[in-house]
Amino acid sequence: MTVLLEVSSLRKVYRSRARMTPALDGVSVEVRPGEIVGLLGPNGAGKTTLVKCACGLILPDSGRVQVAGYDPVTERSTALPQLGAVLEGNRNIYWQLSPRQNLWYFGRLRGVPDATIAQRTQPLLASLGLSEHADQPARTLSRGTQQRASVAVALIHDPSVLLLDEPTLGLDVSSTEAIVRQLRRLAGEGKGILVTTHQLEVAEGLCDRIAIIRQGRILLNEPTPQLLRRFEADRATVVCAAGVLRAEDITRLSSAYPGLRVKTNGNDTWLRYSARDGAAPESLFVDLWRAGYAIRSFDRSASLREVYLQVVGDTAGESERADNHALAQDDPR
Amino acid sequence: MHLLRMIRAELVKGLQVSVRYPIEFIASMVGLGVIYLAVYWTNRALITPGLTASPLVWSLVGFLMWYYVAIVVGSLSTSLQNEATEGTLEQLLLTSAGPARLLFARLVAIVLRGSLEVLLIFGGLILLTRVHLVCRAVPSLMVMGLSMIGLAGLGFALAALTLLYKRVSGLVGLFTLGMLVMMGVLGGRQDTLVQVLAAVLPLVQGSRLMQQLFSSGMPVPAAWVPQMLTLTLNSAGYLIAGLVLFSFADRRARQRGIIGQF
Repeated sequence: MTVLLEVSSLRKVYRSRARMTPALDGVSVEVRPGEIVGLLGPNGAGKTTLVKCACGLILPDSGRVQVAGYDPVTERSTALPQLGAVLEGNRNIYWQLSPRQNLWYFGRLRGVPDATIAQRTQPLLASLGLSEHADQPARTLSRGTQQRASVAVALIHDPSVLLLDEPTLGLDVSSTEAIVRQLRRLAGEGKGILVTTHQLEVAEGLCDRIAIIRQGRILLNEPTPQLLRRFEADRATVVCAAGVLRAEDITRLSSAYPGLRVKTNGNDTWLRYSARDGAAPESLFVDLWRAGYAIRSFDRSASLREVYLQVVGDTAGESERADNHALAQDDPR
Repeated sequence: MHLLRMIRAELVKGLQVSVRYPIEFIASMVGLGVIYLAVYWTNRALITPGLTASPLVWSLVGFLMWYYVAIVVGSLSTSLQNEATEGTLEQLLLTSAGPARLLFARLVAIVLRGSLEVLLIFGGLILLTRVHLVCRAVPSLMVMGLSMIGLAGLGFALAALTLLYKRVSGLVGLFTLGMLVMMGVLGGRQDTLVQVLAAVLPLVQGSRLMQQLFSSGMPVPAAWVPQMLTLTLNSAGYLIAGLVLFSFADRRARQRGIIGQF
């Protein structure tokens, strides 16, 4: 099988008496075996709607979802055993029960034989660092441990596709790292994983491919290294020069490098310059050196954060609209 | 086979929660016992004129009907509401069995567990009151079982409303009360109007048959076969209607994207 999760031309509009809110507008995403795809976007961009459509929890207006070749709505009994999900804004597990009891409960509901549940439970708990908390009620565990238990529950039936909506939201570094390690291991076993996150450093280190979604449309969908290289070409170079630049040097450099921005803290000076604005940034190093300034450091590699901000831009208003929509949707009237 | 495993999973989970919260479990058992005793003493003091059965029999039938109406009609709706509030509903619905089968398995587990609790309470109370109770177990179980199938249909209908409107506990209470009033008003009467209503309304036929079975002497009623047939058709009708409504509501909630909201 070449594609484990196929989402094509998905459209969804939330309709209420007061208004219609478009959530997905022709979204297409694919996840292949062994691939981790990161879905990034501002609040209200359509990430959660996409994940829930892929699970069959929300019915799209049009388009197609295939999980391991099966439709999760019309072929539920064959599609859903291939799918595991951790959904954002949900507890996902019963807090009255321990992680081990949750694994047994969901395993049985999903038709996993008792012998297999027994066989899988201990390695799964161990791989997510849950062994010592395995028999404590989930309500007494930390947020990170609860979230790791949710991931374990999503894996008890050994699905080939994993959908994780904000799996590291609110987690500390070690909990995040435990989940990231587990996801890499699962991808290594050939599972296809779709992750939504706002933690761009997590996505950059984890995902093989990044898709950025805004207002229900995929703006960009590329392998992570290729994406970073493409944005590297026109990204700003930040140079830290030792000492405070003289006024005449600043005037001269500003005319040679249009768009140059200079900041100082009284000891050192930071110069920010984008190649799009004219001369090659390398010549800035030479000019600074000729003027007698030592170069303390420079940074030119594009980060996913910069790529994201360039692609998505200012979305504060959008987030606010999305939050209002969520509130309106929460009201079942 | 999978359904049996799901029922088992629900039974084990219920047991684990009871062990985790023992006071709640004990309180519910004591509460049931107190309610039963209240019904028993009220019946003894104000026994319905013209009826020959002992207060214990009437209180037993009344209590059983009330108890099963309460758990079968209300538990699916309450369960869905709790799952949505606790944030486990969507994870639960990722089970390949589908929501109706899942809820059916849960309902069976709740009824089995409830029946065990009732048996424990009755066992204790019968020993305490030293009353010899005669009843025909097989016909009684058949009538109860068929009545519960019809009630399950109402349970699914209320669960459907819960999926769409989220908080319907007031309606569930009203329904439960309505069932009991209907049972009380119509259950003991034998006129033509009641026979017609028994064929159409839920629970009335089951209640009438139960009262006949538990009456003194415990004969199998003369019109047993047609009455059982009426009960079967009535219950099947309500179950099918409830499932159809639930299926519609499930689809509608998924279309509106509100399935996990509360």
